[in-house]
Amino acid sequence: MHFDDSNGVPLFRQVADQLNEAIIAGTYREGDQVPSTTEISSAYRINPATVLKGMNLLVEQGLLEKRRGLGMFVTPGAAERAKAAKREEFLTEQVARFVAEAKRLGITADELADIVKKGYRS
Amino acid sequence: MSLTVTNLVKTYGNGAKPALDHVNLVLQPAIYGLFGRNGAGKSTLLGLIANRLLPSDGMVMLDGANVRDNETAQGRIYLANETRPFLWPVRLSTLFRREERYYGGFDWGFCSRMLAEFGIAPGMMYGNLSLGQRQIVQLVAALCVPVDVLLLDEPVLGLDAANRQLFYRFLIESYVERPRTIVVSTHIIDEITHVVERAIILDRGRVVDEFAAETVGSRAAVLVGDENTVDDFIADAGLGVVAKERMGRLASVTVRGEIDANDLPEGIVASGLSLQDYVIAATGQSGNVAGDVADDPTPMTTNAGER
Repeated sequence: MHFDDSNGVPLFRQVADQLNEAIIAGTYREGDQVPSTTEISSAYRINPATVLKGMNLLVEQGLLEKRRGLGMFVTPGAAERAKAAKREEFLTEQVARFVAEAKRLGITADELADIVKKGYRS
Repeated sequence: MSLTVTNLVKTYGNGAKPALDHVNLVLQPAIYGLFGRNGAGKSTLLGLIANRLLPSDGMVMLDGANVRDNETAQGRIYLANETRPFLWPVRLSTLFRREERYYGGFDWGFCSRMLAEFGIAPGMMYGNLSLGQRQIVQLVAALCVPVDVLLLDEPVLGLDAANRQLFYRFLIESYVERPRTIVVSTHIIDEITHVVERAIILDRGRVVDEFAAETVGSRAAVLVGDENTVDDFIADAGLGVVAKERMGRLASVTVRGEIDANDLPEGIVASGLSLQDYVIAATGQSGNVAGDVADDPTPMTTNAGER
């Protein structure tokens, strides 16, 4: 894991994002146990309250589940759900930002479409 | 468990400006960072909580009981500050056993694990340790006693970078094992930004802010852009200016509060402050957020209800 203070993303969200990515990448598969709050917070020297907040975000999204006395586990179908959520976020937020920036720089929709298509071919 | 500081005042000597000026705090189980300039009153505050200093006014209560002349309460509070010299030869284990007797317990397993990682043999004589190692021994002792309030005054002052990281890790481990009120005063704010849950900023004897550390990005922002554009935006939005720097026509202005990127006019870039930059802004000598309360209608002392 790696945490970045300069990107303006709150730390608990960065914790959640990195676990989310690890689930999408298959590092943690359905039914796998993820590192505990204690393990993450002491290894990365992050306050446990912050780590827990990030973990709880994934519990709310149904990607992790708490098993009493055992720890946190990846839920069935978590990878697909995480990927779907990521797609949704990309299509709504990131593309909107991308287009706004292109407009600001005076790039037309056609020019942008060409570049995107070229990117797909390479 | 709750530690309450009420209207705490400490004046050294007659007629002197108070080192601590009517400080009010309610501390819960959490790791707190205590920040402020040299001479802001950090050590005085910690010394008063630990009953090593007598307050000029006000009081410190632990679970509703005044800690002053209260041995039971004092046995629940531990202050680690500057290393004490021992004039007679003493073995580390003897020091630890002394702490065990006074504080009614000692985590020997955690102690030997920490000493091993710090590379200090438990059988060594205290007098043969380097300054940094003495400090480590004191921190190890502090993390092993079963107290409810742990006050660490500049714990990493003499530690090298690797040992500082090791210390932060053990601090968190110890907190997870036994959640309690831990207050760490330090000037190396960047390193401890993620470790602390809450931050307390002291400036010239007063608490100028107390907040959840992760909300720092929403407490102040820096606006960078053409000076006129930035000034107009600040005036229109009615933002409070904390600090201003100019470089040619480009101005970077630190303002209070959170800036929604959607509200920004073209040509202004906003970014949040790191904890360290925020502390610097909050304790600067001119136009600071602490400021003179008299000409500052919105001091940054809103600490209620965001926990």
